[in-house]
Amino acid sequence: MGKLQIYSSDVFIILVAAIAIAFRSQTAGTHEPFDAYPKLITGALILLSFACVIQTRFSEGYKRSESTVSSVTKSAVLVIGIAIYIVSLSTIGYFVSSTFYLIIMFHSKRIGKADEFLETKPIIADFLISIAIVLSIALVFKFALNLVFPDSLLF
Amino acid sequence: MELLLPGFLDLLDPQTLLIMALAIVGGIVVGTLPGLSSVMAISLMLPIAYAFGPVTGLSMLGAIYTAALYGGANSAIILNTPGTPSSLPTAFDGFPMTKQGKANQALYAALFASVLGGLFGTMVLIVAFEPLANLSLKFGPPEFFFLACLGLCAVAAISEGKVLRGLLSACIGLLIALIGQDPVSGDVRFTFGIYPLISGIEVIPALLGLFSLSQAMKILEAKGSHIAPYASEINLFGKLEKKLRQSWSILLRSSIIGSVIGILPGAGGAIASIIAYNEARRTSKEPGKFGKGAVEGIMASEAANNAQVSSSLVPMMGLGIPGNVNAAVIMGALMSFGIQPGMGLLTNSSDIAYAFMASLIVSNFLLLGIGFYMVKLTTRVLLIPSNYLGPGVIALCIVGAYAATYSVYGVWVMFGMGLVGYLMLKVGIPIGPLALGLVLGPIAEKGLAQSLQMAESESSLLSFILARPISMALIVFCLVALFAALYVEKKTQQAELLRKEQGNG
Repeated sequence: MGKLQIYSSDVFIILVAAIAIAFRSQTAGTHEPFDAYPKLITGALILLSFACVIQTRFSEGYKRSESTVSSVTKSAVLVIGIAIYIVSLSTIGYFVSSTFYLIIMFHSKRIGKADEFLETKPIIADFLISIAIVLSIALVFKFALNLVFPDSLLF
Repeated sequence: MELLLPGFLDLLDPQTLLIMALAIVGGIVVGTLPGLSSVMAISLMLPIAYAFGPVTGLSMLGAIYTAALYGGANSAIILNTPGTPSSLPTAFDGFPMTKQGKANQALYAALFASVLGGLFGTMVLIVAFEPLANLSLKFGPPEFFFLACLGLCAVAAISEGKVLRGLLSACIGLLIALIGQDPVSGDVRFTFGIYPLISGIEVIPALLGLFSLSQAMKILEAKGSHIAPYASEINLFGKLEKKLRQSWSILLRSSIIGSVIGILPGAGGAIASIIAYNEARRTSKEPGKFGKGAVEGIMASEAANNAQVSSSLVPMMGLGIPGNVNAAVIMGALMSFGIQPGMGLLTNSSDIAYAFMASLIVSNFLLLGIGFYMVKLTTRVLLIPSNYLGPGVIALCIVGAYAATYSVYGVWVMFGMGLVGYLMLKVGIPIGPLALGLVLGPIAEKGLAQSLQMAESESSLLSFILARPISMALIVFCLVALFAALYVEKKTQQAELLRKEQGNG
């Protein structure tokens, strides 16, 4: 067996099982027969979680991809970036927040490339492309289909 | 039937044809864009339809409905984002085909299958709409529960060889679908004090997050400059013609499944395409190819999806009961023209009813012509560098989620589900079954709770179910589908093992 190792998939599955237990504890307040289905689902989820953890441990077929520190940091930055974009959407508005978000994201791939990063030409190109995307989305959603955009403090 | 010819003649007006063509273009665009649904497009066009009068107005709405349902396949194939819940299974094989440089083949296959399915569904509507309307009334809660179970049997087919993890993923979807109000009692549960969760997890933003956002994040993480190669295949139409001829039984079976499920009020296109996909895999000689880029999977899903467009209008036209939201909006349009839906429709306003049915046939031919040229435009998306495409898709997801719910809550649902999907991809749990659980969960729960209530007056639940022949038939189908899926899974694993051994030897 070797030494006991905890993998990221184990952590995720155990978290799922914990959520299922939390849901199951809430079914106590529901009336019969309406509690039958939630109990069935939460029970199945708890059992499957343990079965998956056991299978991962004993099955040779599963290859585990190990995450590096840089890939985790990159994922975290991506997630935080999207969350900030959503928050800014309802504060500074769609047009400004989307343009800034897109420029930053377009340019983020050039980080670490000394010859490209902070060069004027790509920044201008990124700015123009982001404006084009923002206006195209607005044209279809807001002006052609007359759908409302999030209320914001600025635009 | 003899009234169908005058119906076609009514459509020969150039203005009507032009409006239908524009509606097809608009429908494809709306269906392709994440977050925008056919319901939204039809409702937006209601005032315009009213201005054109009954024949042109209804033809326009029918054309939008047909095209929007097909349009969902475009984003499913190119971006792994089902534009509509019913194009969910299209993504399972469509996106792997795009990754293999076969986006054109996948898109044309989806178009041809959609048109064939759509024509079949319309013929069913014309020929058998009275008996089908009566059949739809025989489906009660137990039948809907077992129908959802039949859809869930597809989990094994889309688990990418990890059945246990696929089941776990489906159960996560079913659990998420529990959040909010109980569909029968109305009790609020599993909201943990978070007020907006009372309305539950909306399917469109959830699917957007699960497939689109997680995919966009993967695009941004990837090292390549483009998401997939852009390639024009040699002898593409020759290959497609061969595939279509070989897959006629899949197309026919899927169209029948779509037509039958379409008539059931509340069932929807998602369940039709999921069951058709699973059936195509179950009966395939090479089931191992499904989920890895099998064109048959796309054909099955799209034929069923578009076959249910016309048949979903059966309960509305035959009984005056709208089977889904699209039918309800079209029913609203009929009523605004002073036409009463129901059996009286064919006696009092037969000219308009048959012109509408004829317009659904014309819409499918227009879809074939217009869609053919739009495929070329769609595949150009693959030429966009991934550092532009990824953020663009994220911005589109956010606006789409907002447009689908008219609230920032929808955007957060999309973000949350995107995170779940992204983490699941990272730890090797397939996300397709989760989407299946999310879509089928409410149907299964409502069916089970109502069945249990109905069975209280019987001596036992078993005797209650045994007395319902359609339920019994669905149970048999479920068992066949389940054992067949497990058998296929085992055979696929054995074939993989043999292939590896031969490779090593």
